[in-house]
Amino acid sequence: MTGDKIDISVTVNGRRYRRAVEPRRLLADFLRYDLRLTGTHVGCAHGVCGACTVSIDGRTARSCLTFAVQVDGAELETVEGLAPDAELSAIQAAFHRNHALQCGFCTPGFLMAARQLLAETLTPTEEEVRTALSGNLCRCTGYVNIVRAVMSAAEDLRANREASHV
Amino acid sequence: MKPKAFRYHRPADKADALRMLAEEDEDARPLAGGQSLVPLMNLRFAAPSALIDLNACADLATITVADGVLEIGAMVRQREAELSPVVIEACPLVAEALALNGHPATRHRGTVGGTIAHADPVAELSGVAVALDAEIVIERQGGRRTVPAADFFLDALTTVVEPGEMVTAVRFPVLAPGTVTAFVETGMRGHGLAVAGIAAALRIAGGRIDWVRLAAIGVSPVPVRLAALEEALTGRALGEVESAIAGVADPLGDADLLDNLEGSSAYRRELVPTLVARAVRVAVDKMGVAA
Repeated sequence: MTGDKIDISVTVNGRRYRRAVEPRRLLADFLRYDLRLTGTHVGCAHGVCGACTVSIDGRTARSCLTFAVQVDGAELETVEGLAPDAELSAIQAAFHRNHALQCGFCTPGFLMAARQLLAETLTPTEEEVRTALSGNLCRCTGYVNIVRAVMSAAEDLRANREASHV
Repeated sequence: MKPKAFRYHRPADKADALRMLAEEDEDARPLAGGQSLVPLMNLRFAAPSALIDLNACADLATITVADGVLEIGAMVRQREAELSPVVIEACPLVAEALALNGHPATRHRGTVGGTIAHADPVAELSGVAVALDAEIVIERQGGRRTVPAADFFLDALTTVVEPGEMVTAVRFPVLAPGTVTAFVETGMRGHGLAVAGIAAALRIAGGRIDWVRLAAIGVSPVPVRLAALEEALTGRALGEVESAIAGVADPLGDADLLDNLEGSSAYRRELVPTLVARAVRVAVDKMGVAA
C-alpha cells in the first residue's frame, strides 16, 4: 500500500547503492539521509533555489523535485563526485580563487549547474553563464564573482582540455 | 519537507498508463517531469492518492512531423524539444518559447505535455499553442479526443482534462516557409518567471504584414489570443506597426486580467502593446537571417 517501500538500485558518483525507499522519499532526502551524502543542500524544497541540483544520467535536475524511486537504475553525480581525490576540480578551484562563495550553502548547486554548462561549451559568453546559472539563487555574493569564476574555469579548461575533472 | 504518502505506479508504455489511470481513483495524477506537481506536493497544496509515473513510457516521448503537423509527445523533455532540429525547422516558436521556460535544470526534467496540462498562466508554451491554433491530444483508456488550444484552458491551473484522462501529445502546425517568429517576455528578474509575454508569428509580402498570429501569457488566467491586434496589423507596412498597435483601443477585449504582487492589471494592460511591438520587431529582424 501507500507506505510500502520499493527496492531501488542507483549509481552515485560511480558507486552502486541498493536501498528500499518509500515512494514519497525525495531524491534530495535520499541522498542526504539514506546515503549520508550531505554535500547536496536543500534550500527551499520546492524547486526555486537550485541548491539541491544534482546530475541524473548526465543532465542537471533538482533533487527536491524528483522522487528517489524514479532514479532506479540511473547514474547520478553529486557535488561529492567533483573532487573524488580531494583535489579541487577546475570549477571548484576557480570558485575558490575568485571568492565565488561566502556562506557556501548554495555552492553545491552552482557547481553542478556550472559543470553542466561547461560540459556543453567551453566558450560561453558571460550572458550564457548567467542564463545557465539563472535557476540557482545566492543571497551572499551578488553573483558577480560566481560568473567570473565560471568564465575563469572555462578559460582554464580550454587551456587544458584534457583536465580530468570537469 | 515531505509529501503526503501516495501509491506509486510505473507503467512501461502509454496503454499501461491509461489502464492504471482508469483503475485508480479520481485523486490519482499522472507524473510527467514533476517540476510543477512535486513542489505542490512538497508544500502539501496537492496530495494525490496515487502517482502514475510516465517517465518510462518511451511511446509518449516522440517527435514527428507529418501532413503539416509537428506532433510532440507529452513526455518529450522541454530541453529536448528546445534543442531539437526537427522542432526548430518545423515550428521555431516552440523552441524559442521553451528556452524561456524555467531553467536548464527544470527543462531537463520538465515536459511538453506537463507544462500544457499544468496550465500555469505564465507558461510560455501555452501562449504558443493558443497563438498558432495548436491541438491538444487527450486520451483515456479506450478513448481519444483532440481539443483546440483555444478551448483547452479554462482557468489558471484548470483545463478540460477530466479524471481518468491525460494529455498525450500536442500538435503544432508546421509554419509556412518565410514565417518569422518571436517570443518576448518581461519579468522581475532577467531570467526569472515572466510577468507577461507575447508569442508572435508573421509573414511579410511586398513589405507589408501578410499574416500574423499573436497571443499573450501572464495577463489573464489563461492565454489570450490578440485577435484585434492581428486584424489591425494585417496589411500594414513595417513602418506602420507602432501606429497600428496604438490604434487598437482595447487589445485585451473582455479578458479577465490578473492583478497580483508581480503587477497590477493596469500594468499588464500597458505591457501588451509594448511587448507586441517588440515581438514584431524581433521577428522582422530575423528576416535578414531567414532570407
